[in-house]
Formats: sequence, C-alpha cells, structure tokens
Amino acid sequence: MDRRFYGKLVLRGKIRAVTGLHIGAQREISEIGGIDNPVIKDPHTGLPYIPGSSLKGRLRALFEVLVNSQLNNLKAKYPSLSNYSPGSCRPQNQENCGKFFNKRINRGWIHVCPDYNTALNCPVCRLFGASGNDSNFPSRVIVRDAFLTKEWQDKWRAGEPLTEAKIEVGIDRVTSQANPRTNERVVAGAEFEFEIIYNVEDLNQWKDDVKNLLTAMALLEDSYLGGSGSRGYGKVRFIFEGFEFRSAEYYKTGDKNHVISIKAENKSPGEILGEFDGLFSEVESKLGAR
Amino acid sequence: MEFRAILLRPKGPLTEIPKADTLFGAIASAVAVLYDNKAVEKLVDAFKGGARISSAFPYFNDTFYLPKPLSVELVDFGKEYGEAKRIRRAKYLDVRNFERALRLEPFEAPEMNVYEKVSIPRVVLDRVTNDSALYFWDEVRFREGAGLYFLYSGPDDVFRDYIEPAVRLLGDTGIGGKSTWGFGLFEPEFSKLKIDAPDSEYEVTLSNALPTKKPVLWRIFRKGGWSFERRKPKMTFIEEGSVVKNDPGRFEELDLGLSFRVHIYGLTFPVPTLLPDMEGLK
Ligand SMILES: [Zn+2]
Ligand SMILES: [Zn+2]
Repeated sequence: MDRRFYGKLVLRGKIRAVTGLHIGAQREISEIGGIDNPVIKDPHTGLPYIPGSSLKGRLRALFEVLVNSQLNNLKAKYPSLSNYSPGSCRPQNQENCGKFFNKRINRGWIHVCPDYNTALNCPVCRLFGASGNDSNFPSRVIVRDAFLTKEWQDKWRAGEPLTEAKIEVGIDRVTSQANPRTNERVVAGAEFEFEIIYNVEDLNQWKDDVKNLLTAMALLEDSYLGGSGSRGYGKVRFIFEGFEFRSAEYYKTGDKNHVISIKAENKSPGEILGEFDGLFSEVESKLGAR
Repeated sequence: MEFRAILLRPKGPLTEIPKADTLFGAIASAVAVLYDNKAVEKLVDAFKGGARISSAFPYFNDTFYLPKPLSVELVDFGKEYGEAKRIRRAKYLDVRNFERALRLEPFEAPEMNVYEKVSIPRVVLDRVTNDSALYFWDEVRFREGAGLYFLYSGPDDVFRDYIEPAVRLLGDTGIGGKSTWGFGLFEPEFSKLKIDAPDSEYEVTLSNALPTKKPVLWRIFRKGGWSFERRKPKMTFIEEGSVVKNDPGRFEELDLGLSFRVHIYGLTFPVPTLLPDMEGLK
C-alpha cells in the first residue's frame, strides 16, 4: 500500500441547472395524498445545495456504464478489466461472479473491485475508490458539496425564489388511480459552485485519471443529476473556472509559489478534454513528463 | 497560559467533531504522506517529550468554546443561581466562563447554535435496472461564521515542521470519515488563544486521554474505529473535561499488521483547575 504523493489538482467552476433540479431530502415514496417532496437544504441557511455524495455517485455511475460498454477495448490499457465480462451479477445474485457490475448495494448492483491491487489497475476504482472485502483502495477524487454561488444567494436574499413546486401525477400501477404529489425543485438557471480535488499519486496515471474524470463530467451533461431525470429534471452544465495544482512543496512550506494556477474560464469538460495537453503543460513539466 | 489555536474553517460537513486521538492520527498520516514514517516517529517523540494537542471544539466568530470541567458538577452554586439545569447539561463554555469554572466561581452556560446534526439520504442506483437503494447517515453542519479549532502547546519547530504542513494538507484531504464526499475539508488558520488558569496541582484535560493512573474526576467512553484501513481495537478513554493530577497520559502503540506501528494518542492536555474541598476527593 505504498502510495506516493506529488500534489493535488483542484478543479473549480459552476454547475448550472439547465432544467429544474430535484435532489431529495427524504424517502421518495409516492404515497396517496401527495406528500410534499422537498429538495435537500442546508439546515442553517435553508439554501439548497448539491451534496458531494450525489455528484460523485452520479459521475461514478455514468463512468462505470461507459467502461462496461467498452470493456473489451479497454482491457489492454487496464489489466484488471480482464477479470470481468460485460454485464451484471444480478442474474446469479452472487457478488464477483465475473461480470463487471459485481457488488450488491441493497437492491442495486454496481461495480467495485474487490481488493487494493485490482482497484489500482481499474480505471473506475483507482479514480473513485473501492471498499473491498480484504483491502480498500481510497478514492483519488474528493467531490465536495456544491453550494449556491454568491450571485444566486444574493438573488434569494432579494426575494427571488430558488425553488418551485411542481405537481406530478403518478398513476398507481395496481389501482390505476391518479396520484398527484408536489415535487419541489431548484429552478432552472440556478448555479452552484463545484470543487473536485484529485490526488496525484502516480506520474503515469494522473493525466489518464483526470481525463476519465472530465469524461464522466461530460457524460453527466448528457444525462441528469438527481431525481426524475426521465421527466426532464436535472439537466446540468459544468462551466469551468480553472485548475490549481498544489504541489507537495506547497503543503510543506505554505509558499504559494509552489502552486500552479490554470485559467479555463467558461470552458466545458469537453473543451478541456480537447485542449488537455496545452492546458496542463505546466503541471506536466513540474511533475516531469513520463 | 497561551496556546496556539488551529482554526479549521469548514468547507462542508463533518461526520463528527474530532477528538484529539483522531486529530493526531490524521496529522500523523499527513506527515507520513508529506515526508515518511521516520518523520512520524520524530513527531511521536516530540509529543512524548511534552508537545500536546487538544480535541477539537467549536468556535463561532470570536467566541471559542471549551469543555466544561467536571469539577463544577460537584459545586452547589445555590438555588437562586437560576440556570442550574442548563449549566449541568452544558457541554461547552466560552473562554470567560471556562476560566470562572476553573476557579469554581459562578459561571454561565452559553446558548449554543453553532452546529447542527442532521440525517442525510444517499441514493444508489442499480447500473443496469436503475433500481434505487437508499441510505441515511448523520452529519454535522456548521452555521456561517462557525467552525472547529484545536489547541497546540509545545516547541515552535515541531509546530512549524509538522503541525502546520500536516494541517495544510488535511484541509484539502479531509479529517474523519466520508472525505471522498468532501466531508471534513477545511481552510486552516493559525492563531493563538489565552486561558487564564488558577494555580493548582489538579488539571482539567482538554483532550480525550488514556490515563496512566486513577484520575481524580472522570467520565469514560470506549472508542475503536479504523486506521489505515485496519480495524482498531476498542480502547477506554477519559473524556475532555475530566480532572487528573500529574498525569501526562500515554500513547498506545498498536501492531495492526502494517509495516509500521500505529500510535494511538492518549496524552492529556492539562489546564490547572481548582477542586472543591470534599471528603475523599483530594
Ligand atoms: Zn474496479
Ligand atoms: Zn513508535
């Protein structure tokens, strides 16, 4: 478990809700009578936010689905993928039966490599982490809560509503009765600040990891975040501000000269992927090209 | 007495308020990441030689909270002293009232609304069928202007060479569980805190500790947990606010089957306190 440390790459920017966004604060059970279904909010300020767990979970899920669909092409690059064939262990109902989606979380099946060394050679687990049976591989990525931007907090203080109530009519599958309920959602246009921290532990893998992370972000833009995605909720865009590479020397000394700042204002994950080598050339020369 | 105060301005929630052993474990692993295991041994030696950290306590703007000394629970401040109940229930005192409590003088317990413990849902979707599974967990969220701090006492070079770098790294790494979701991230700030303490041979500890002898007044709790992905055995600590007499506390060295020994921090963080004159106490 010898993990080196070269520094941390901090990715920063805004998440814009392109459509209404619903990240729930309670069990989403449709009960007769229409239970109010609120969005998650900070208990002190009452302002909605996007939990780091939701954002990270979604990025991981979308990236897992991508890797599963490309499994055979990726085996040469990521040795652990040779352990898996595409699909889910659900039919066998037994973990690690050889399929890619190999771990049961309550009723769901997701991908998690079973130990440290397998995780190290898997594009999903070495980035997002793996809690295995014998050994864990701690995530190289930290996704913190995304809080409303200052601008949107000010709008809220000025009396502009941040959330809206949307009445959804569900049809009970058994009784065919209409079952209206109120869903609260964050209004389209609202913006949150994101911060994702990537730990540089391997000089041969960091660029690949960061590209995979950006790919997952691009996938999320084409998918949805939070509940009711199939009904058009939760479409988001990432609008980058920039990157900061904080080297190990910075942490040792506190000297900001050991921090590299990269501007990437208003770029999307796709644009950053397209210009990756140019944007990260200074970080690369600092770390030493491999 | 003047101590260094390390402010941790939270950038998100924490799973719990970290005690001294958790803080020390986090600092030691940060030192190992930035330097090596030899540096960790040097750090441990410095603490065995007298350096100390406290547990983390809340602050709100300029108000710093400290654990209520157990000694005041033996004092009858009188019925007319209105808020007796709240005083008994209080866990924290601001510095001024903490200083009064050390002298067994009447004090007030603050109304605190600094942090909130909440239960948070997390949904996991089946990657193929989209079936959802739901969990809940508890988290601690701070109001704006509030956060945590801990105290350091000891040599300046130990602070400069180990504590400062470690805390800087931990700010971007997270302290405590669930750091992968941004829990325990913070912006550090290095400051100082004065505590005016009486002369006494009895001391209240501001850290949870593993005593080397029978404490004077104590409350215990058991704590296990995880270290370097290995399970730690449960150990019995005395709580912050317990009173000891001339007891430095101790490290417990654990062999968890790693290439190095894990040091569980159990040193006291002593601040002198008066003790009521009672039969059998002294
Ligand atoms: Zn994996
Ligand atoms: Zn040792």
